[in-house]
Amino acid sequence: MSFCVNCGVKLKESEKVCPLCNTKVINPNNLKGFDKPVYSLLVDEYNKINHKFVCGLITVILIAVSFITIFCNLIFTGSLSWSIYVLFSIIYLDSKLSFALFKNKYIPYIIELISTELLLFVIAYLNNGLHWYIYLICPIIFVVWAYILICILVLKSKKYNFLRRFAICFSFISLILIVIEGGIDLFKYNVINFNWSVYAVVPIIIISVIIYIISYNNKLLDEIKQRLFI
Amino acid sequence: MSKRNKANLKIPNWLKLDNAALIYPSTLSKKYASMFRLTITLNEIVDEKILNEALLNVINRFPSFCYELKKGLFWFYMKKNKLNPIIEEDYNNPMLRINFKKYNNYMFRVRYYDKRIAVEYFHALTDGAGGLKFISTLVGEYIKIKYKERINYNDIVFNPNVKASRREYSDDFYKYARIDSNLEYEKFAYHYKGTLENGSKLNVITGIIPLENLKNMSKKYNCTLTCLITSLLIWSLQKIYYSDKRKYKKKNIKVSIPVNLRNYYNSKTVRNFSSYINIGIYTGYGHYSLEEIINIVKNNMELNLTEKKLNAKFSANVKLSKNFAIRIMPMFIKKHMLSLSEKMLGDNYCTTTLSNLGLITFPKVLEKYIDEVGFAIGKSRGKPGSVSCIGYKDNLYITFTRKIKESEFERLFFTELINNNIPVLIESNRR
Repeated sequence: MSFCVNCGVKLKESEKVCPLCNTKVINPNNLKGFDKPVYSLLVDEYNKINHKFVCGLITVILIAVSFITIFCNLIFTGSLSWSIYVLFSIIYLDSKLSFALFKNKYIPYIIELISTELLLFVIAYLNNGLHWYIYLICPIIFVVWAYILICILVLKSKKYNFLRRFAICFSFISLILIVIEGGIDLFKYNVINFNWSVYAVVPIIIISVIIYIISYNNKLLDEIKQRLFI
Repeated sequence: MSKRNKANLKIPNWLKLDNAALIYPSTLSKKYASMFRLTITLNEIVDEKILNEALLNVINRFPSFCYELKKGLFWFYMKKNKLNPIIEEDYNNPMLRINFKKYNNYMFRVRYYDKRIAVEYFHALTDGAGGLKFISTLVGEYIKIKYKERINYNDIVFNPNVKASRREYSDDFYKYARIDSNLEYEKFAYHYKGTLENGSKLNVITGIIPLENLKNMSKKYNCTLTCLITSLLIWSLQKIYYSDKRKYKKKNIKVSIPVNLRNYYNSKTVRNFSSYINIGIYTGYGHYSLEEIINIVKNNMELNLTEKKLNAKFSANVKLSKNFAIRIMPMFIKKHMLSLSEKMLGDNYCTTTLSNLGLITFPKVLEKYIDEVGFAIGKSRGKPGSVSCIGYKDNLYITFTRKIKESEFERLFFTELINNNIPVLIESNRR
């Protein structure tokens, strides 16, 4: 019989480490080693969802829906017209499955960007709006996508406290608004003239700075916590 | 393949869940089910075939166990299950959420490993006392088949060939509930924190303690064993409370003690028939010595463990389940409401649970073959861990289960026993 040298409890012959204090069991008199473990070594697992199967099933259903749509379109109009919108919307919907399929968290975001751009490209192309798409929508979508990605990265980083991270993400909204207004102005008038974005940017920057400063004031944070404590 | 004993198949096609069981199906999630486990360790390696045969022989002796859980429009209910129960090898991480389909829709699963037979129950099926009767009867039948022994059946080891009486699967909450009820207001309790274990892992530590030494200690403090263990748990939790650096924490340290209502009523049911009491200290008044805690626990137990008080408590639950507005609420709404209320109120009122099944006495013939017993409570949604104990022969088996990595609570509890010259033998599921 071994004893834990730290907490003094007796340990069953199967215990290699004291379960109470993690002290290693060394018994010089026990040369035969440790007994069979008291518990099995098999590990029970939760019911796992077969993501690949579920995604495959959804894709098959969506493909069937697209074929029916194309078939109906061809019967009624004799050409592919409105069904192209449905087809690309289905491709856009199906791309969302990448979030369940890929272990690498950044690949789905790239697929998301490509699918969104593709859907809007098709809509623009079919409506003779390529100019509108290339100079306005494509850059705006890219900027919003980049903003979401930056927010995810910033919020995930545990280096700074949550308030500081939130302040950084919030302040970036002002940047987005400036880019959007600049893009619209360039597209419409070929000249950048900041107008409405200023009214939004100023309060956003002020609020972000206040939150950022508060995040350093532990005493004030404590006061707030105290008041809001349930 | 062995055939199921068909002596007692005349049971209703469906049954309503008992009053205590109503809440458990609502709390079912992908990763959570309220589970508990009873084990009996024999002195020889378990024979899988004989165990399977024994299970098929005893299953019909427990009619309420032959049902599967079903979802109705307004309530969950139990439907007769015609499939045979199955057995499987035991796992390192016990009491994982039961996958009913895997076990032929039964609400329990029988497992074996080396010399041990374990039965894990979903709480909607039965409580600790009912579960103990089932596993004891199963082991009794196993020993009877394997060693050709003649068993003197008693109140925990049933004769599988005798027909079960209606009283064994009745809902005794409704039978004994009175009109006057009272649910006392309670304050939220302190919960200690730790690093959560990954998904499926549950840490189990069992301390085997000589009963004689514990009895001597309880005599010294002039209290019962449950009172002593509860006090030691509170005392250990108090130590954790003062070392907890969080500034804002609840100040009540309370232990929830399930109470077997069969001790208060002439009940023979093997379904749920237990209530609970919450006992503890308020740390806001200062530090308590062990003697003070024992006094508080002792007095509280005397005050609360009366038939009148316990009846008022479960009568309130019965009254609630009879409420017309609740009854007509569709299941998909009721499920979420019950789950939310359990999450907010159930675990928040106590720091930990201590479930004591008491000293078990098997018929003499069985005692020759049984070395150890065990009782453990599964993961809870709010509390980091639970404690359970069961006595057999000269030992008390105290099992701590926890979903966090840190074992400070267990260490404080067991080292305090060591400090009182009570030897403790430890076993765990640590790999």
